[in-house]
Amino acid sequence: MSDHQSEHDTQPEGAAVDPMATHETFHVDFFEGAWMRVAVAVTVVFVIALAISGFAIGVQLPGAYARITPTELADPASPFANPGLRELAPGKYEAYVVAQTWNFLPAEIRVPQGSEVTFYITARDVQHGFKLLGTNVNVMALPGQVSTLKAIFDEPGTYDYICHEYCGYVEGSPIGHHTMYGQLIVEGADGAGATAAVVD
Amino acid sequence: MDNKDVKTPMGTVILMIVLILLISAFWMNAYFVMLSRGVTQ
Repeated sequence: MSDHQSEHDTQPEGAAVDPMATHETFHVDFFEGAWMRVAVAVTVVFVIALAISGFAIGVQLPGAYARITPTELADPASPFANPGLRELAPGKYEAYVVAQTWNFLPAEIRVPQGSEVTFYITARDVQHGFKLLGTNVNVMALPGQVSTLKAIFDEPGTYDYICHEYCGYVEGSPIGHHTMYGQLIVEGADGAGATAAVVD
Repeated sequence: MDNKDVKTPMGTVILMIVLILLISAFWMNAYFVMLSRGVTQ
């Protein structure tokens, strides 16, 4: 035996080393192992649920559609020069929304029940938010970026959209971030809807 | 290692079970509320 051989090398030469011979070193307590399994199981369930909502049901996050220079929002060639609703086809609309201190343009959008609305949202000055209460429409409005999100409105009612990214206020002024909101009114077949407030 | 003297920490086990049930319940509630609000694309 050479001087460099360890004391473990006492078994016959060529014999396989049993890896389980040292398993006591990796002993895991019953409760510790149980919670490790629970943590893995919960994570797997959450990932499956997210995959179902994302791939099977089709819930998607808002995306950055384009870049636009805030000073060009008033350019007649820009769709944001006249913010509001555009009808693409019966039941299909585009809504161009400009967020600015401290209001939305337009402040009111009316669509029929069952409409599919694609929102294009940008900000004129500082960072704002666009949260349509009672729905999953939740977008940041950033100067220089056009964000987009599409939603279908099957339930008639009045959906408030609010700024949910703090954008300041003026001391003593009655308006500010907290008063920045608009309304999307989904009108039912009978014309109802404007009175049915959807709250979140 | 001799585990004969180690007692099961039942209080901790119960608290952990309550915790994971609460987390699961809150998460499932938020998940189904999100689904009920419709699809966004």
